[in-house]
Amino acid sequence: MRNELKIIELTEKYLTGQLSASDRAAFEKKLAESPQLQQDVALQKELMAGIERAALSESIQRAHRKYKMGKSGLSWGVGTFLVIVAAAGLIWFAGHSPQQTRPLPGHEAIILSDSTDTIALDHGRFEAGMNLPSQPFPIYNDRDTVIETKAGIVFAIPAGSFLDANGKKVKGAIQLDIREAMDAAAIIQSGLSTTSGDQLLETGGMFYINASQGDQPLQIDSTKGIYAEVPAEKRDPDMMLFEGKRLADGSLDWVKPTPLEQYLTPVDIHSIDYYPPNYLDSLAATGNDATNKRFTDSVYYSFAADFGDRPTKNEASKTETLLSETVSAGQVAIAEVKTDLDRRTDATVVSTPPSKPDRIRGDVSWNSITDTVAPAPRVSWETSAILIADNLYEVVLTATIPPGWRLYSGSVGEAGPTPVRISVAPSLCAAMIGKLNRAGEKNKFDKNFEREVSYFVDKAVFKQQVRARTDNCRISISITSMLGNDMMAYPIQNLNTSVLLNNAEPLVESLDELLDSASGAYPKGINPAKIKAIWNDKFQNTLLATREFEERIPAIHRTCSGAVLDLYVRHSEKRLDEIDALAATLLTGEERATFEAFADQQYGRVKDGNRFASMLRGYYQRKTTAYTKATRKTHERLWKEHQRNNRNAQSEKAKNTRENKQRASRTYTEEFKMNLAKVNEELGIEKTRPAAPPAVYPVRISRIGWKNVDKYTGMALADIMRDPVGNGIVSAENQRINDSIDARRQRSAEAASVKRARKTDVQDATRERKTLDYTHPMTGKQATIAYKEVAIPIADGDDYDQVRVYLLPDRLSSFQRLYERDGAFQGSLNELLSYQLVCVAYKGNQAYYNAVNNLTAAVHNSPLALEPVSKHDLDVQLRQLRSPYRVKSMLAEVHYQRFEQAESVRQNRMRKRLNLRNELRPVVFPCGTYTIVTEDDEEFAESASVDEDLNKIFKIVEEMPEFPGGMTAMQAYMSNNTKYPQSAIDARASGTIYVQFIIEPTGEVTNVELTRANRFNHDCDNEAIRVIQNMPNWIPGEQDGKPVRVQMNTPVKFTLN
Amino acid sequence: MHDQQILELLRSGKRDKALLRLYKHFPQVERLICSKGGSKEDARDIYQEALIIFCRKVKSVEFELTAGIGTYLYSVSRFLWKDELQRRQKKTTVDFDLDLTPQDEQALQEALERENNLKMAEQVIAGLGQRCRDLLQLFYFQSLSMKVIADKLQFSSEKIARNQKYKCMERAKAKLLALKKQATIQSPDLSLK
Repeated sequence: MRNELKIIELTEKYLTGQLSASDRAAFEKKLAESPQLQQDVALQKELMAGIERAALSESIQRAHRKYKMGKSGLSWGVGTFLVIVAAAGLIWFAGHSPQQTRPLPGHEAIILSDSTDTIALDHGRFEAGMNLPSQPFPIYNDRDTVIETKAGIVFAIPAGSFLDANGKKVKGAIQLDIREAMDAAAIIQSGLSTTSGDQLLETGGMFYINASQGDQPLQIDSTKGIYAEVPAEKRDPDMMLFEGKRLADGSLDWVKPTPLEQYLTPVDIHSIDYYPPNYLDSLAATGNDATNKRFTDSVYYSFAADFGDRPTKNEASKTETLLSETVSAGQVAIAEVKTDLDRRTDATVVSTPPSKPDRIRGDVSWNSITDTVAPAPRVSWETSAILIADNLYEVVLTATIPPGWRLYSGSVGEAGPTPVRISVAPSLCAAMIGKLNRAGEKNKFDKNFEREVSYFVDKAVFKQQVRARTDNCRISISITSMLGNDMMAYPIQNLNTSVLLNNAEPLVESLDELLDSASGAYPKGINPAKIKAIWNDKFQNTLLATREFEERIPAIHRTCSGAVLDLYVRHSEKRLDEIDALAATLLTGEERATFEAFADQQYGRVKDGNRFASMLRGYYQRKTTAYTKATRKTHERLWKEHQRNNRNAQSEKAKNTRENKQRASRTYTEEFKMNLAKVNEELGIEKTRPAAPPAVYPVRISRIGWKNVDKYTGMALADIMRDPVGNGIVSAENQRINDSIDARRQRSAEAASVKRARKTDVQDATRERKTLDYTHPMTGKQATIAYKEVAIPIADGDDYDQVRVYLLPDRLSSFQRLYERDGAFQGSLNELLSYQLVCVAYKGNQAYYNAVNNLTAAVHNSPLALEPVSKHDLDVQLRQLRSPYRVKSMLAEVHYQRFEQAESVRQNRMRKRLNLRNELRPVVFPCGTYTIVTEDDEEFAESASVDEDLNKIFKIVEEMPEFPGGMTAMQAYMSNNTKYPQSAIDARASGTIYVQFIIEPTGEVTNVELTRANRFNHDCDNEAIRVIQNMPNWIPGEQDGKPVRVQMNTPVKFTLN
Repeated sequence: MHDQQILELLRSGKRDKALLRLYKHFPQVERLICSKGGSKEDARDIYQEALIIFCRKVKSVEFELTAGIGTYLYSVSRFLWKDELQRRQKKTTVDFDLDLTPQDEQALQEALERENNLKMAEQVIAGLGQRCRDLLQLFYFQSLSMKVIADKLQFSSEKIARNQKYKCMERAKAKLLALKKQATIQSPDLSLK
């Protein structure tokens, strides 16, 4: 047995006097020493008294209930009683103010015949109640009759209700004499009493009914009875029916109370609200029309899809365990994603159907040795990629550094801290442009490493420009970093992450998340398909279509138990209070009490209803299944369609990107050629022509045959044979020739390299659109290619869904795009060209347009205003552009933009729908989600606060344990209390020992152990353990609001000075 | 039904029966409370509290019935209602006197305080699962042996039942502690005088 439980056992024995004298003394001694134990014992004692009190309370409440029902027969208590008497008596009825005239159905009572209580009275003697005015009603006993009195009591008299003195049915006309006292004045005047024995009654009214045929007094057929509905302002469930017993003094005593027949109040099923509580309000709060029933129905019923094909038998059973929604623990880095260059597996397109198992989002996956070190500080990284030019992205990595810590950046050699290293894996689809840019470094002397290091605090920002060669390019980045502060350095963290280079909105990715959150685990709640199955005419005039049932609907929804609802449907021919009681047995705690209270209301059945109850049972089941299936199918169909559209969008996008690239490359080449020509011209360099020979040898040929143009070298062959290589026997002539050949070769090589360099310069300038001032290294001539910056803001640019700005140069074959930065669309214009600027924007399905001819290269301050334009007009405008080739590409571009806009509208619609569902989900299923528990929980598997294994050791919890005073205090404690063992000093041993321990729910430090075998010195090991063990109690960690055991690690560093 | 008989029933453990009998005094109390500005629910709650105090008193050895039970219950209810009114209206002068001797009043005051302190514990117990509650009540209140309880509640063995009882207690203690912590943060001015 665990320690804690042992203590409880001991305390129990102590408090109940079961300890032996010596044990008791020992216990009391310990008690005196430990205030903690004192508190513990006091709690337990209090609980024991509380148990007693709780038991008493329960008994008393039971008694109260019984008392109210008056079942004991002896004590009638105070309550309100309904009284009905036999034909020859007076009838008391409980009701309220006499003003109301409408009878409230449900107050029917059977008038029993009882003719044994009448006492022959002398005329002239006082008879209470008989001075009330008589209301005569002549009726026929052979017919059903309904009569209504002045005060509004309605009698329904079936044919043949009256018998003569011999018990035979009377035929023909009879006289009814009805008297009523429905208000206080009438009651007092008539001398009627309001007591039963010595008990006070609260009355709502009394009436008297007598029947006779001629002189013959009649009785009511006791096997049948007649029905009376008595008007009342408010139904009091304590009402009973009393009979009047005439006493000797002429007064009436009220006896034999019987409960009323509580009929239910049928209502039109379509007027009932079967939705979960707050559903309509929440729907209205999202800005939707909550009065449109078709809409509210369709949204609500769509949630049936969440129930899908899962087994329905587990919907509500006593052994259910409710899991709270998965919590994402702590700070989040980007989840690890494999580099995936295969476009078809679209990392951005959701390719999984909604029925995915629950995925814990916000998963931290550090592939680091330190992921169990709970108190270790962590750097959290965020990545993003911004498009700054055609296919050029700026990838930004932002590190958030926990306060008090530094992120080391510069390398200081082996013994120094590990600098942060960001490496981008080489990728087929992307090229790095330039170097990694860092911002915000500081330089300071670091005590840990005893040298000057550079580091970041708070935030570190790294930027890298990347050119993407394909669309949907994902680059993989790994980051290594190390944190430290004045006291210690924390081990290295490694992180792999990736960034997607894609200039489309990551709409689909976020949809993925939305969907995942939507379709998580199996919802715990009532399947809307069930509601749909009952909310129709088939269930009119059944128990489900009554005011009384309507009162129960919110409570049923709150139980989140389909089984409870099923009970009402399946047993709809039973009494409502019986079903209430059945429901109570399925529940526990407060819910149980709620339904027990319902049962106390003692409601009965619908009058004349439920003849088809058994047929409806089958109907209900069939329809529920059918609706669930259908909803799910619709969902899946919508889903597939969405995916199809996504795929289509992807391919359109890819096509567009391809075209863009071709266009860009074509334009680039053209511009480059143009630039180069200009430079060459300015440098005076002729265009390359086929080289003319420097001189010619004119010869005349008069005979066919071999010819040769030669001359004598002045050397004999014999000489050459002697010195083949010709070292030193090279004639001056040859030398001169060789030299000039060499010189020419060299000159042309130089010229070629200069030409190459010039070409490169011009290429760079063209690509980067920067001004080039070129000086020919050999001639000193200068040439310039000028680019000038242009910036132009678009009026109300943020109001549009999409804005695109195009530059149309007059001499190139296609356009270029400008991108927005700092509120204006920026780019550079080549001085050699004149440009036309075209802007097309979209808001919803409406397009807007404007154009500027001969755009000047400057920073334009006045924004360009756009005019709304129709699709046709836009095409017309574009066709007026100067070159037909340009027109074609502009049209294609604009067409694609239109497509993108439509896509975006569609995605928005989808997202809106999903958002709505997500917002409403907690209203429709207020109990969250759960997973099906299959193992038998033997003991207390009842509610969420049920037995979890209290021995479980957590590594990460919602509230991590804390050393009192925080990390700084802990560091102070460590440094103050750690004693460097002498033996280690002597042996010059130093290093870091990793210790793990558990923080108990009480905050105690237990199970102190060394984690890794990098023990360098035995004494240091022990010292480390000792220091940790002697730590003061921590503030324990909490999960789900309860303190739990948490495992922690920490390094203990021994360094020699 | 004589008072003595009721006491007998209580002492012999036939609590439910006794309590039912005791409800016959309810109408008076109800009338009193309703006439002093209370609702029917108030009357019900006050009467229940009065019954609890009464039952406790009966259990204690020094109980002497000096007046009728009805009268006693009536006095206690009156006292409780005055106290409740004071708490609600925060007026120290409530216009009906209690007709009690000072030491009676003192005793009642103490009883009320004790009960109030236990309300938290009661809340905790009520918040435990049904099985836990049953287990604890059968053991502590009805004082059945673990063997009998294990049988009654269908545990596989006495040892398991005992373990579960301790676990229940542990949970209850934790909850009570948490509740108390919460209460001390927002403790109102609990001056009962």
